[in-house]
Amino acid sequence: MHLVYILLIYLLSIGSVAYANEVAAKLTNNQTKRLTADQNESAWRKFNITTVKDYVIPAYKKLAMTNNDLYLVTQSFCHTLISSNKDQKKAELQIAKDAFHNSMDAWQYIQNINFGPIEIGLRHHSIQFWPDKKNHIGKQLNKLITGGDVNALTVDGFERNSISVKGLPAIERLLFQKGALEQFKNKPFSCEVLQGISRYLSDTSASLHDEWLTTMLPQFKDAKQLDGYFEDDIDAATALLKTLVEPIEIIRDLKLDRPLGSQLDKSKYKRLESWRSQRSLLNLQLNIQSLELFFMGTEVGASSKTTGNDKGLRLLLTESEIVDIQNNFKIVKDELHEIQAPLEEAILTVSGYQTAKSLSISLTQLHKSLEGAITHSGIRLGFNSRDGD
Amino acid sequence: MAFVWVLTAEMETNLFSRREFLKGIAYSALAPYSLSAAMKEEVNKLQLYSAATDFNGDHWLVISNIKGEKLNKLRLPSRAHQVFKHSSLEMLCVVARRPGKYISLVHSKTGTLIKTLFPSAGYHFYGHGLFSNDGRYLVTSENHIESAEGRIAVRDRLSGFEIVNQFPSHGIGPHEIKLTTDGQTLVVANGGIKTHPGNGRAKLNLSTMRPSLVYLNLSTGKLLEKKRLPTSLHQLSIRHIDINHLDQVVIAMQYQGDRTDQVPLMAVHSRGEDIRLLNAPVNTYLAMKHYCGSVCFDASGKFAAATSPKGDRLTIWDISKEQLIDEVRCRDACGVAALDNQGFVVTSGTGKLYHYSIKHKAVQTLASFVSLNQVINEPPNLPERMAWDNHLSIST
Repeated sequence: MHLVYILLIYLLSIGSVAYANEVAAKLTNNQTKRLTADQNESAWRKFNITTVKDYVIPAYKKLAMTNNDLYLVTQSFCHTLISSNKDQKKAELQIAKDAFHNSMDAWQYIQNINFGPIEIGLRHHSIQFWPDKKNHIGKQLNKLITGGDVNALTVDGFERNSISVKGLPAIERLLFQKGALEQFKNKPFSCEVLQGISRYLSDTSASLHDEWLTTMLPQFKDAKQLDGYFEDDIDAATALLKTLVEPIEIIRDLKLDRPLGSQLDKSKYKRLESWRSQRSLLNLQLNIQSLELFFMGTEVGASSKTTGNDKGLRLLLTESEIVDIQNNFKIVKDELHEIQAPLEEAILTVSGYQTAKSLSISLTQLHKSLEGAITHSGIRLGFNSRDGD
Repeated sequence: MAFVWVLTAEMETNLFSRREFLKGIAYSALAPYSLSAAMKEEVNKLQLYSAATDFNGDHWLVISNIKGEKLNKLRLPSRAHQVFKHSSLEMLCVVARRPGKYISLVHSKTGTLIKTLFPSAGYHFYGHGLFSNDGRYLVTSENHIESAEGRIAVRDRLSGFEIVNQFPSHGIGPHEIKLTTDGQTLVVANGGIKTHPGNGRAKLNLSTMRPSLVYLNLSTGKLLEKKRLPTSLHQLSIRHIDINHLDQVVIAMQYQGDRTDQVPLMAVHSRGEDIRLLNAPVNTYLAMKHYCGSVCFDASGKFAAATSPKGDRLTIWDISKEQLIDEVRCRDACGVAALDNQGFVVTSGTGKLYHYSIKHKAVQTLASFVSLNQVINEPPNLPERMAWDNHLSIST
């Protein structure tokens, strides 16, 4: 027996929106004259390989680079705490915060990928344990710091720690806590913990990049291989496309609607994703930017966007579908731009709250347009999985 | 809602799995194996019955062979849920999905509609039912809309399916029902979720829901036993069940709590005992994404298969040992039916038919797509392609 125990979910992606069938039901006869997905399998294979090469792997590469920087910076910061003056310490703390922001930027770009290597060893949760409704991070972090056990910070020892203390939210707590420098001074081991987490993030993201490059890419190149991850090219395309479409629901439900609550006086800014570092709005902007890049087929890190419809998913959609989706992306981006940063304060105001609510509706529209177009292209992202009973 | 596992407990397994993954074998889901000649002959005689939906959103009863070749179809008024066959007559019962407004009785060979049944005024079907062992009575789980209390309705085939008995299910939202081996005791999965047709499929009592597993005397409706999960798991909806020759009930659940909670989804129960949750690696339950769509025992009654379409997972359990024994990735898999002692047939929302072999611990594709037009040698047109719905039945 060999159990397939390398499975993790992006818990946040437990979707329940039920309009997949509605979308299918609205297709006209004219529209359905298009090729079925399997009649167009080679085009999907091309889409898959291009998406992995130009979008997924570069994004993981960036995550690996930024997390490596974060590890180096936290080492430097902790060293400064021992010997430097207050100004130098402040400056180093700011550098560490900046490095955290860079890492979080990179993570927000690739947070949507919830299958493949990230499933192994709960690494999605490890990189970002969120939402943390029970304050697991606080409790476990405190336990780790007060424990003072250096063995818990070795490479092997760290693996055995709770996943809640392994990732970016734990670093955020350490760097953005009130009186951070004083806290580090009073609890010197906390800086050891900070470095331990950073090293774990650096190692993990380097592994993810390597595993996508060496293990996953070949799976997309030959999706029908025996003992492979996928069943065929359509299965592979479906896995990718789900990471384009489903995160929009997650963004809406968890990153917006949950903090917003049912009305203004019920909004809770501490439910926002990165309220401590006050970058929750930036997270949303980066999520949408990343998904738009994915849709456009633009290489991550490329200096300019391709304007023709000859790349990415656009190759497989109609002109009107492309225009509709682009328009919906624009509406979402405009509304994001309209919100006054930080989101943590904006949602407590009437206008900020209303714009955020409107954004939630626009995200639904974006989701619908993407799912509808993909269904029309012959790929059903889910049937029982979207609307089970 | 408390977390059920300490996540760190899984790390050894995870490290092992990482090595497996890097060797490129861990996601093995489609390893080839051959059925014996005798088995093939037997398998080729099988008929599959399931509700299905095409790309246009039209709903169908599909009668197919194991190769996915459509033998018959019948357009349905709305989406259906369970399809099951009468034990001796060529009669299929197609139960509408909740809030169900019809039951179609269909000839299992010709696909011809025999009769349509409707719920009594003030009631709707819950998607499941069964025929009594003697084949005379049709038993369905229903909702009394005004009180939101579950009801079991018993219709007599010999009197044109008139309701001859009706009794409480002793819970809200009765879903799948099964009979014990003596045919006298009805096992009811009361999902606990309150719905009202006026609110569509909206779930109205998630904060207070209390699902239960109930045993009723089929003749009298007398409550024989009622079991619940611990209060901390009150949002684990007991919805799909199967029962083996030892009258062990395997339970596949769906979780209605917060999307970030980590909970078990499988359990077993025997009369007089508490419901026992099945242990599995945290990764497995996480991957099942809070939802099981269908569950069934194999013919031996030792193994059970559960589908989790939201997680694209098929999980196989040794119920005698209360252990998970295998897990494979299977896109949008939901319908599952036992195929002798060999394993299970699985259907998916992507329109595929799979066979899972217990012996080989592997799954293989039986049919890639099922088309309404029976086009074998070329891919079916988009609107004709079927998505298999929640449940699958098989007969020879």
